[in-house]
Amino acid sequence: MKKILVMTGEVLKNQAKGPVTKHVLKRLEENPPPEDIRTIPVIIEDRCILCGMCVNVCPTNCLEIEKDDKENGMIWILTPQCMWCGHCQTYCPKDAIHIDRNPATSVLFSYNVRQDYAMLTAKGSFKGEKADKKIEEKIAEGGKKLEELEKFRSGN
Amino acid sequence: MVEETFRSRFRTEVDGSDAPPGADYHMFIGPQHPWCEEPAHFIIHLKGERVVEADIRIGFNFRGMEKAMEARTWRQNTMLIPRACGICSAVHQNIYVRVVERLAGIEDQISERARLIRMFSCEAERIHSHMLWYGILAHDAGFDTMLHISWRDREIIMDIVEDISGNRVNPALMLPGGVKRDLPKEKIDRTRPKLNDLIKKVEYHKKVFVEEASIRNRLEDVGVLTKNDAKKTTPNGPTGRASGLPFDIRKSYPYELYDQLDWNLVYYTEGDILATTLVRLDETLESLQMCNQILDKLETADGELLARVRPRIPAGEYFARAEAPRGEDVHYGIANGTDKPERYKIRAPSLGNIDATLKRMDGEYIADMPVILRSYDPCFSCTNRIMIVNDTTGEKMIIGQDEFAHKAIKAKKYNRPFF
Repeated sequence: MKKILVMTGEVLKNQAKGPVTKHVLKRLEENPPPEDIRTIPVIIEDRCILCGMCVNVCPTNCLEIEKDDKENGMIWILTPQCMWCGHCQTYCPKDAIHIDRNPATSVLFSYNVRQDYAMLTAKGSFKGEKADKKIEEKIAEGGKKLEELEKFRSGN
Repeated sequence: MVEETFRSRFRTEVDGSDAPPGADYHMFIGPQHPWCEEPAHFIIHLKGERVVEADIRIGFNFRGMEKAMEARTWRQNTMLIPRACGICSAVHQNIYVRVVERLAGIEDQISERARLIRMFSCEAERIHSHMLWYGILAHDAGFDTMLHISWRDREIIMDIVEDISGNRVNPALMLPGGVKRDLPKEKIDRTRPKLNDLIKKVEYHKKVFVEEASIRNRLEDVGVLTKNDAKKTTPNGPTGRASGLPFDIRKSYPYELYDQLDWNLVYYTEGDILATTLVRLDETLESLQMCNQILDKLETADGELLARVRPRIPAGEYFARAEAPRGEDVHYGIANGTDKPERYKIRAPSLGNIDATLKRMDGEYIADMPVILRSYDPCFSCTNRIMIVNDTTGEKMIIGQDEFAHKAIKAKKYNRPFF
């Protein structure tokens, strides 16, 4: 008898309660991403001395560098290959790397591992035309590889 | 004492022609099967409804990680090594940084604060791994309510990990020489009430597993592994502790600052699946209590967070181990004076528990298989080491550690291809 009373109480309590689950988008508003979230790196151009430390320590080898001296050079990134570990920020001797914490722009990533190149920094004579040309070159190279793969898949 | 001889569990014929005598049905589970979250191939030989003998085939998730480490520098490998396992990433990184620190000779320069933050990360990981495991166990036993309850409450500890590190399952806080990030006072104050809330919830989970008849009957006296069998099949971690082998690396060979904390070693002697579950539940409570102690200590502890480590590690070798959520995790690193490792070996805990779990199955009902297979928390992404396939004959060969090391050293010495 006691058990039945307890069960009835539970049932009534559950009836009075609202739904426990929430809509996903509402939950996202209530729970913003953590303040320490790690995403892709952004280089502050004034501080960068093009030492190449970030390129050396990157575990996935997604960063590449080309330079003449301290003032003239560029660093670019293959965005989908970056695994957001923040290693470049830790080892940067000049604190020039800042990790992007705005999920609206950086969480939207793509799976195009062969073409999504982005210029992180271009200094001195490398600024402008030369940097654009390099990125275009890289994207064209990736496009060629994709075409080869397509041929291989279709069997021609 | 008469030595009992064990037959080789790893039979070679797939059609069952060398099956054990008396078996009339052969059941194949995996590698793709609704039960398996991870790829493993189980062959269960049955007599009616009872299991005569069980066999396992692993090697479906080989990723060549150890070889990849030899091509990267010690600094790059700090971020590769947590990817060895899906869920116990902090403990793999912890052992790795301890190996590097010992080889670089800066072991005594690590501050107390850095060590405490590392320990907090490891204990938080143990809590969420155990909570995940007993949820899935309840799901396998057909008690889905418990799965939802435990996974809902697991979000509390996941939020804590996310708050202190920025990531949910891969905190990656450690570096050779210390830790990457501090745990400031505001975060400690935010964490404490959450931990106390979680303690009450885990106590309720324990009450459910002990008192609720529908789950208890599925676990009690099922898959008993006696102490004698446990000694022969050498399980480690919670599987061994449920069978009366009171062995925990944190107690027997303390690393970091585990000897300065006040905590009890949990072990049961029954050896059935219920004992395995209770070991993990009690350990979760124990870890939560340890987390509170670590937070208390962090308020007064101070020191440099990161000591400098040179990129080139002097020649030498070191063997380190730690207590992962699943058992004893072992790393062995050889440095040759350059900035890359000569050889790095990982032995993850699941491999040591497979033989004991196969022993558990002998003479059990086929309906109890999901629960027994789940009992040791299978994790094959870190277990699978190497498989060699001959491309002309299609022959598969799984080689051992010694053989691999021998081949790798010879290939390097005489500058010739590995195979």
